[in-house]
Amino acid sequence: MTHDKIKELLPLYIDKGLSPEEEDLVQEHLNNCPECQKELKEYQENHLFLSRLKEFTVPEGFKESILKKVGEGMKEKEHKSLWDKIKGFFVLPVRVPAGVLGLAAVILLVFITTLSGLFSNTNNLNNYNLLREKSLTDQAQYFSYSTPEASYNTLDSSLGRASLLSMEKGESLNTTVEQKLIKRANLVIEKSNIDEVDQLLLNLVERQQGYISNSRNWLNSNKQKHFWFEIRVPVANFNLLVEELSSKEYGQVISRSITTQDVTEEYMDLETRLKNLLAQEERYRSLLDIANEVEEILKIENELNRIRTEVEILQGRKNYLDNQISFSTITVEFRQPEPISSGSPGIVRAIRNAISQMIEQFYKIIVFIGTIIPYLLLILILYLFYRGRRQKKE
Amino acid sequence: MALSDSELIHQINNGNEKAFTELIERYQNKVYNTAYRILGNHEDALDLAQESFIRIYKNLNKFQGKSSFSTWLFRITTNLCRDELRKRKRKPVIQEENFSNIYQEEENPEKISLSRELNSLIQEKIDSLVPEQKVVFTLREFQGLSYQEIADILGVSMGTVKSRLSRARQALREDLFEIISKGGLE
Repeated sequence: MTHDKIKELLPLYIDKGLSPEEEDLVQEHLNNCPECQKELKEYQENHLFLSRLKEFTVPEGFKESILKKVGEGMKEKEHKSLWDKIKGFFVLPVRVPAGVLGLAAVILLVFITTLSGLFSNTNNLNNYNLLREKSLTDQAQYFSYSTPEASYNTLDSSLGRASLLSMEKGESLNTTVEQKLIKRANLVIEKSNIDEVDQLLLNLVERQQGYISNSRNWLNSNKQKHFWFEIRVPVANFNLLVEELSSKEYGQVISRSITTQDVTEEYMDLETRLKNLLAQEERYRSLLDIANEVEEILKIENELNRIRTEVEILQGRKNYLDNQISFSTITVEFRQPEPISSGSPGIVRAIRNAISQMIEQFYKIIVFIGTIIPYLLLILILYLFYRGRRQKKE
Repeated sequence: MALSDSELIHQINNGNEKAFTELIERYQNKVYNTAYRILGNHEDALDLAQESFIRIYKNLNKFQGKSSFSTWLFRITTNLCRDELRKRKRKPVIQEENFSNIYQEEENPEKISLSRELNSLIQEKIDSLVPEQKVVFTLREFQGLSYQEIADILGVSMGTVKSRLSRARQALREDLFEIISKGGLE
């Protein structure tokens, strides 16, 4: 053990602050080191002197002053007025530097302004949604009003009686012409016990003298069953069928749309053109009877051929329209309600959502920080000013 | 009137104000002197000693007797001193030694009474120590507490106490010895 190390141990040697081994080492060293002996003596004297120093006594009135303060504290506790209690809610027990308070206030202000900006944005969105909904309901109203009216028209006219309503409505048109309307309906219905739909629908369609022209069923990716039908029904029974399909018995209607297409003009056009063509045909036929030359006969037959093709095209179109008018088309899709999603994909989706939201928020934070940089600079300047003044005061 | 500390505390908790007076009398000088040696002036030491006792009174119901009362008391005092020193670091005050006559000199043959000059010379040296060393040095040299007690009060290990004390003694050895020998000659 070197001299320097022993010197380090000396201060604690005087009051048994060393381990026995250290003490032995020091003792051994002390025997032949006058310098250390001298230092040790000084340590000992210092220690002895300080420990023998007389204590200062507290001045008179010391304890009385404490008792008084303690008593006041007690009284304060007991006689706290209601106002003090209210104040106590708002006053922090810790003193906060003015700079910090200012900073907090400014951040709050900025935050509120940004937030209100966001809020007004969402407001606009809501308004937009409202508008959309409103227009949708308007449309729906339009349909529900227009369809019964239109159906009266066709019903009446198909029976050959011109009702008052159709007179009023059709005054500009030729009153003797029936209105030709094609009606279609489109329904999506949610039904839990979907398997019985087949039979129910078949009965219904039969009762209304219609037929199922097309049907399809399939499973979607969520293992939900879908049934899709295209129903043709006499136009007179159209409304009844649609109403019945919309009833509770068939499940929850998700969407329903009814369209009415007015084809009167096209129909009349077709009829006139057909009449003309037929008249033409008649004339050519009479011409054919009196024709003598082969060339003439060939020409006339060519013409007749052309007219016949055209007549057939027009007749086909007319037949189609007749069919569409007398039989309305209803497409209806039944599907099972969405099953309550099972746990694990929900969790996975939740986590995925959380991550995407987090990233989005992160971008927002960057934008936010960017926004408040000028304010931060202002605060920094104010703070430096405040500090400078405080230092000057001191 | 030889009640133990814990008995006194029990009485205070039961609403006996006199017991608190007794407790103050028992410890007031220890607290005051400790504060004085650490803070280096009487005004602050007095304020701090009072504050210590007020804290004691307020928190007496929280004192669970895990450590001895004196350990708890010294812990409160030294913590307050440390806070005070920290405050001063930010805002240094001009120390004015103001020895008015209210500080009574008690006659006691076994103890050494110091002249005002000599005392302030010694205190100056103590003031030059870093706060941690100052606290340990005060508790050991002036209050005569054991290493273990000091470790308990400060909540540090024995090794830490020893190293701080050792540094403090080394730092003060020469100057202090000089002052003492001169003082002795006078």
